[in-house]
Amino acid sequence: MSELRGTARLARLHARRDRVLLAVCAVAIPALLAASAVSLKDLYPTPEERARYAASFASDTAVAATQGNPVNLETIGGILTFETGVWYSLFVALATLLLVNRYTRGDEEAGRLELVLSTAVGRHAPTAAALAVTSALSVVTGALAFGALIAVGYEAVGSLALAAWFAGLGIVFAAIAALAAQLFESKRTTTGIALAALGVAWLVRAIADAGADWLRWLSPIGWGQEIQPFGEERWWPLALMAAATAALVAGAFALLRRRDLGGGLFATRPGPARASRGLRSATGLAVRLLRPSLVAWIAGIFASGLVYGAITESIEDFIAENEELAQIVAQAGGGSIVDSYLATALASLAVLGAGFAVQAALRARSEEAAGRLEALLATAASRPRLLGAYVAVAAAGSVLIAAAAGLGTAVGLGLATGGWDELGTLLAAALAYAPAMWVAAGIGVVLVGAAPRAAFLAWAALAFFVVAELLVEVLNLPDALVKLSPFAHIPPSPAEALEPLPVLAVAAVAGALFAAGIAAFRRRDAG
Amino acid sequence: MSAVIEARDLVKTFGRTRALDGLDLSVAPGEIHGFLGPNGSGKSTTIRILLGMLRADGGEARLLGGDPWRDAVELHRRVAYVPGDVNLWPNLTGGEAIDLLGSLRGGIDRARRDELVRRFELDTTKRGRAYSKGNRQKVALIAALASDAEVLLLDEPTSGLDPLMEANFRELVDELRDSGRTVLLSSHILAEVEALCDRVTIIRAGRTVESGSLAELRHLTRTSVIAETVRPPATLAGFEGAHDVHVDGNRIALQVDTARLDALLRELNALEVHSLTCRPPTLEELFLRHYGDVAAPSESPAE
Repeated sequence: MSELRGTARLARLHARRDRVLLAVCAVAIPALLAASAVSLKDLYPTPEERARYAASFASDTAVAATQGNPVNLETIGGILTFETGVWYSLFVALATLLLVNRYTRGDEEAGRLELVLSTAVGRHAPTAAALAVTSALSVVTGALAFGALIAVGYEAVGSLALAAWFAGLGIVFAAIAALAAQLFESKRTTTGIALAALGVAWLVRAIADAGADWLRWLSPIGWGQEIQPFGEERWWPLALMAAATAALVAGAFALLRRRDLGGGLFATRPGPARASRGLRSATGLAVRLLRPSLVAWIAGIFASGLVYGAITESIEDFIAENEELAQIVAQAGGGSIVDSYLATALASLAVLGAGFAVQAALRARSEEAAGRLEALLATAASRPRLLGAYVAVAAAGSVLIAAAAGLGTAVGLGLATGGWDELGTLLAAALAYAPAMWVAAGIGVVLVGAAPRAAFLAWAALAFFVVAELLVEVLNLPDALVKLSPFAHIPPSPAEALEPLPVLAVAAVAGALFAAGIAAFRRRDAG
Repeated sequence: MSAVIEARDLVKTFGRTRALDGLDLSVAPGEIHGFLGPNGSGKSTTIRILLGMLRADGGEARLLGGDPWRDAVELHRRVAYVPGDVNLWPNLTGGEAIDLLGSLRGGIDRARRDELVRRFELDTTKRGRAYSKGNRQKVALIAALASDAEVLLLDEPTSGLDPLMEANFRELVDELRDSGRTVLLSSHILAEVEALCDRVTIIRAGRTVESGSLAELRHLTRTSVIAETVRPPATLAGFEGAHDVHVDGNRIALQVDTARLDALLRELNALEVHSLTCRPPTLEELFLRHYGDVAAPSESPAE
């Protein structure tokens, strides 16, 4: 057990160091869940309304792919689980995954673990401490979620089951991140691998919910769904989560014993002795630094688009079978339900894809915080050029990601139906979201320029845009609040005509934010 | 002949900390200027103001006749910098980092770069994260020295270098002197400063406490004298300008104000000198005298 010596002390160190962050993480999801729970109760108070709700989703594979399997919808708890379970549990997993990487490979890469391990601390202790802190975070999140649901009048056993899903998934992804952290020397790479695992888990589950039910057993998110809170309430998927966690942690420890401190399972090869022509500029450097994540974002968004596109067909079948719904759609006039589904899919992909834009803008700050901007500032590259390089990559990357969303959806649709007429429309509709993604980046640039220490708040702004886009109905958000999001101003084509004016207006806002951020960066102390 | 670097009464505060508190610094063209001060005394802050990274809250700084803040880009074409803490991109090789910094400064002399890589024995194919502190330092030094900058701002450039590489560095600075470049060299290695610098500025707590050539500075301080005389030297115990006098039989050891050295030698002569060791103050003694918190002005620092 000497390998674990010092675990408790290190866990306390992390808890102390990130006390605010951990508290925010623990409270955010239960708060969001409680708000959703209250709002859904207002929306579907009677059994009749719930029955109508259940009927409208019972066989809608498109919605199932984005949200989860529509089961137990005759109860309010079942509706809550369907509307929030997959997404909120994913947020819990995202938090634990990022934190584990921060405490393990992050500290190792920064050289802090070297200092820690030179004391009487066991080799496994840093990883064990990271897992302990994030497991505690998961359990506290679950407990708060449980308490919140009880407080707003949801049934106890179902609430406990949903809370257990959240906590369990958080712990599983902490373990996945712990394993990933052993593989490479760079924290960015290991975080990317863990994020990719989360993305694959989400996609596998989406395909499962769209029809291939057995696939759900391959995804940890699927295990959570199989608990079926407020329905069958099965507990044994939790045992599956526990077994997976144990195996992953054992694997992480085994790799830890084999590798050198600071090293990975895969060694870094030597590189070129000279810089290529492309690297010899500020923009070249920004491209080089951000290219791996841009490629990952494009691939992830394209793959999600494929899934969204491929299941479009099922909506048409569904409406054809459902006369009542077909009438409603006909009465509503305007675009078809397929078009509004596609518009929603593109908007969701765009707002999630804006993550890259924020990441690219904030990279300017993380480079500065790491002390790597100093040497560049002493060269003849001006400050607008140095920050502008990241703005350019954020802006161009947004366009590529938007295009990937449109193309992915169109290709998915084309492969499933054989119809390729929509390709141009979907591509244009997706590209129209690029200016909204720029606004997300622009908020980051303004913060980097004017309040570098608060730059991380750009993520909070993006989180708000995501909530305003994906959870607007669940949370019953007021229109004025939703309109604060640039994504709400882009016409939802193909459901509505693609008017150029609002798109240009959003682009102008983005341009103003970029200019303001760069102007502020010129005036402050830097380096 | 106007100064290449001119700072007058510089003030810089970070929150409640006053990092610079009326600092003065003047470096003439072609001069190798030592910049000394304890940790946290404001050396790096001064250099960052000269590079336009930080904006001074008070006073005036000029670099090559320009305003370091306003004319940053233009000035940086003529200036090279080695940061005190070299941070490299973890996934860029050392060679890539050197070329990148060189191109951003406005071009790099390839032959010179390759020669420096050879002289410093740097493996340029390693990634930034794999370099030791000394090797990171070499990357920054090569990038700075490969440029044909007129002014070099070097913030503890040899920290982490092995003695062989340090000797290499001294040679290179001598070459810079020969080609008429101006160098501001912040360092804790006093032997290095003593060997390389024409003039030095010593700062403490954000203020300049001493500035001048080493000869001038020595003049302001004391020379240590050890003598053996035929007649007992006890009579010298109360000699004006003498400090730390130790008499042991016919042997006397003391420190004397350099201005009174001549008078002391006459007195010793009268006592018939047997042997005499006379040592000018080392830079270290100068340094300690200005740094030591406890040392009162009238007392000599302990050796």
